[in-house]
Amino acid sequence: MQSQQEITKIASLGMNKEQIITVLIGLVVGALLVAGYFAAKNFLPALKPKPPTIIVTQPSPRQSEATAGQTLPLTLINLIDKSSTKSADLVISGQTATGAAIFVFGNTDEKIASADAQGNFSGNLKLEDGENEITVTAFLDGKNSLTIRKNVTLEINP
Amino acid sequence: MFKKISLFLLSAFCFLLFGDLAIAASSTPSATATPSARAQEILQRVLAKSAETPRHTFLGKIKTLGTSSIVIASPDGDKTISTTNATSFYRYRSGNRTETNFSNLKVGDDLVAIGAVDPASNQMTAFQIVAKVHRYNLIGIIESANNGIISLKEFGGSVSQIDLNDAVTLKKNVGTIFSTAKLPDFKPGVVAAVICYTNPTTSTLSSLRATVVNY
Repeated sequence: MQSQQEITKIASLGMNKEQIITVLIGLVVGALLVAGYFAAKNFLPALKPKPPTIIVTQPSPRQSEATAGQTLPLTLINLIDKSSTKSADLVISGQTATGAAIFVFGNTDEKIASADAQGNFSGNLKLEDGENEITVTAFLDGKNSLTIRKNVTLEINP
Repeated sequence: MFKKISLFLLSAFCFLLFGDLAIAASSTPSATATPSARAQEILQRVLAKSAETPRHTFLGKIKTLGTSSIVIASPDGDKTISTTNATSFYRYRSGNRTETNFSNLKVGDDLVAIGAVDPASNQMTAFQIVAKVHRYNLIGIIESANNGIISLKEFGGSVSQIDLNDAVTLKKNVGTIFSTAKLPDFKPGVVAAVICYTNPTTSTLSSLRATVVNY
């Protein structure tokens, strides 16, 4: 009823029936095009914007070579050699033998962590400004792991 | 007829325009954001993106100094570092940091440069340079000890002579607790971790901190 009134009102503004139908057809075609665009954008993966790819180059870690009797495994997670950070607290985590003691030494700080039942460990190490050389070694029952050595630079925040 | 076609095209264009704007607005979290809020959001995205950009570090000893460039001898070979007016320079000595400038750098200084590396030339444009005496972080078994000078065999096999007499801190651990140690605690057979540097006057390794590792 209301739309009929509107059509009547438009008609009174000078538009005849054919013009109104043309406008309505135009609106319907426009709606179909919009719907088509929306459907294509959402359902066709090629049209979706891809998230930016960030390539982080990781230099090969410098590790000490194994010597006789050094049998403990040791891996570090997310600690990149020759990397930089803005945080003076560096989280060092990784995996080794169950129950092993992990000694972490930095330029000004040292920490001892214990590996849990799954061999996981984690700890925080304080960094000083500029370059920091960090070593991580695991010990258990008279055995030790390779020493993993990493250089991490603390950016100075002026 | 021309009028009808024009009217049809105009209607379709208007619907397309407003329809697309509506979809665009609804597809972003800030559908109701004001223009300034939207600008703020874009700025935050740009800042986050720049923070994600990987930064590289070059570290080594200064080999040559140019007018604004530096060549360092690094463990991976010689590296060239370019500096600009935007590069900040710091010197770190005895735990104190001071701001410095390019002209105060000297051949032989240890430094670390942070910046962006051109993959084609492998040269870095540094935004920050920190000159600091390189510290070695060694851990291994003490083979001999004599008047505060120890011979430390690293687990990798290399052996270093280190003077512990000037060490500021000597520690030992019991469990996970560290306590003060004395020079006699650093005896043959024990595992020790030593932070040291090359003494410029004697060219030997002098210890800053040393720790007896009990495990």
